[in-house]
Amino acid sequence: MSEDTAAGTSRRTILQAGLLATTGLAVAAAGAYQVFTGEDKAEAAVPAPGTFDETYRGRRITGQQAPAVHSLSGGHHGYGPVIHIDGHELHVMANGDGTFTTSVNHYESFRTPREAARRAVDTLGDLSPQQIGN
Amino acid sequence: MGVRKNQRNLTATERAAFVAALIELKRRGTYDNFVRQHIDRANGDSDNGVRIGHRSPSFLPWHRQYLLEFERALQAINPAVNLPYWDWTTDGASSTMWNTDFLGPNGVAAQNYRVTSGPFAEAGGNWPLTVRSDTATYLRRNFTGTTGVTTLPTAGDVSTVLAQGTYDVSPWNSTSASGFRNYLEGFRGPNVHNRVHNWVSGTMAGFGSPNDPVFWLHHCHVDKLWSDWQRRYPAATYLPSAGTANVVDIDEAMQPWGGTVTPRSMLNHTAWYTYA
Ligand SMILES: [Cu+2]
Ligand SMILES: [Cu+2]
Repeated sequence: MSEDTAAGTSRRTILQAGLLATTGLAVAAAGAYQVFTGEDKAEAAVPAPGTFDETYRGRRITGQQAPAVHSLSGGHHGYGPVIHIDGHELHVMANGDGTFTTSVNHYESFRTPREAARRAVDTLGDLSPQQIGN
Repeated sequence: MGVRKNQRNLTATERAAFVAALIELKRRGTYDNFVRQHIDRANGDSDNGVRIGHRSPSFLPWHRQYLLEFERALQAINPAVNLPYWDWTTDGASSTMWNTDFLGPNGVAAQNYRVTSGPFAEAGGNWPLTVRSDTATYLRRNFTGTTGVTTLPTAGDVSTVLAQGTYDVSPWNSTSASGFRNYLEGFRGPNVHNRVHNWVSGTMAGFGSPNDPVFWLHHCHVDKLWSDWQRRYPAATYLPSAGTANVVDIDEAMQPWGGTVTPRSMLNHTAWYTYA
C-alpha cells in the first residue's frame, strides 16, 4: 500500500461523511436510496439484506441499501447499508465475513444492519449518533 | 526513558499527577485532537479497503505510536508522568482504578450511565466531550454493557493469545483466522481487546472511545502484551513484509504520521519506555 492511497481514502471517507450528514435525508427523499417499508417485503423485492423500518424501544430505526458512493461501507462498488435512528445517520460498514459494525458499537460485529441498529439504540439510550465529532 | 507501571502499583502522588496532566491536556484542547485522530482513523478502516488503525496488522504499531505521542503530550505538562496500564485479568469492577481519586466509577443507570463522580464527572466541568460519535456531552460507562459481555479477559485468555507464534495471517483483516494480532485485537480467538471496550461500554464502545481516560490504560496493557509477545518470539516479526494491497507492510509509512513512522520503526520501544 502506498502512502498516497491511504491519505486519499481517508480524505474521501471524511468528505463522504460530511456530505451524508448534511444531505442524507434529502437524497433519500429524492429517490436515490431504495426505501422499503419492512424487512419481509424488502427480502421479497431484493436479495440484499438490511432494509427495515421499525420502532425499537421508542426509536425509529431504518435501514436502506444505498450506492456505495453515498455509503460509508468502505466498499468501492455496489451497494452498502445506510442506517438512521430517528433520522440521524449511524455510520455502518460491511465487514469481510458478511457482518456489520457501526460507530456506536465499533468493537462488535452484527449479523444484520437491523441487529446493529437495535444494539446501537440499546447502547445510546436517549442519545443519537453523530458524524465525525461535529 | 519512562517506566510504565501497572496502575494498581501507582502511588497516591502518581495517581494525582496522572489525573492532573489529563485534565490540563483537556483544558489546552490537545486531548480532543487525539480523540479526533482516532475517530478519523476508525472511519477509514475497513476489511475490504484501506485499514491502518484497526482490523489490520498495523493495529499494534499504530496504537503504539498513538500512545507514545499521547504520553509525550502528558510529559510536556509533567515530565514525571508515564502511562499506566490496566491489567484486566486481575482488576475488574471492584478495582481501585475506579475510585474517585483516579478514573472515577461506573455510570449511573438512571442517568443513562453518566459517570457522576470522580475527576471526569460532568458536574466537575473538567471533562466535556466535544469531539464525539454520539450526542453525549458527558462521560458514560456501563460495566458489562448491553452486549452480553459479562467477564473481562482472563489470564488463560491471555495465554491463548500469546501462544500464537505468528504475528498475523492473510487476509490481514478482522477475518484472519489465526495469528497473534487478530487474537489480541479480538475478532477471532478468545476476544481480548474488543471485549474490554464492550465490557466498559458507554463511551468506550464507540468511535470516540479515547474520550474515556481508561482507553489509554487499556491500550497500554494491549501494547505491553505485544511487548511480551516480542520477547517470547524473538525470531518472529511483524507481517506482512511487502506488496500487500490496502495494508501497511513492515517498511511502509503509517498514516497519519507518514515519513519514517513505519511498523518496523515501532518494533523496539525500549528507547522510549519499558514496562514494569
Ligand atoms: Cu483504536
Ligand atoms: Cu481499542
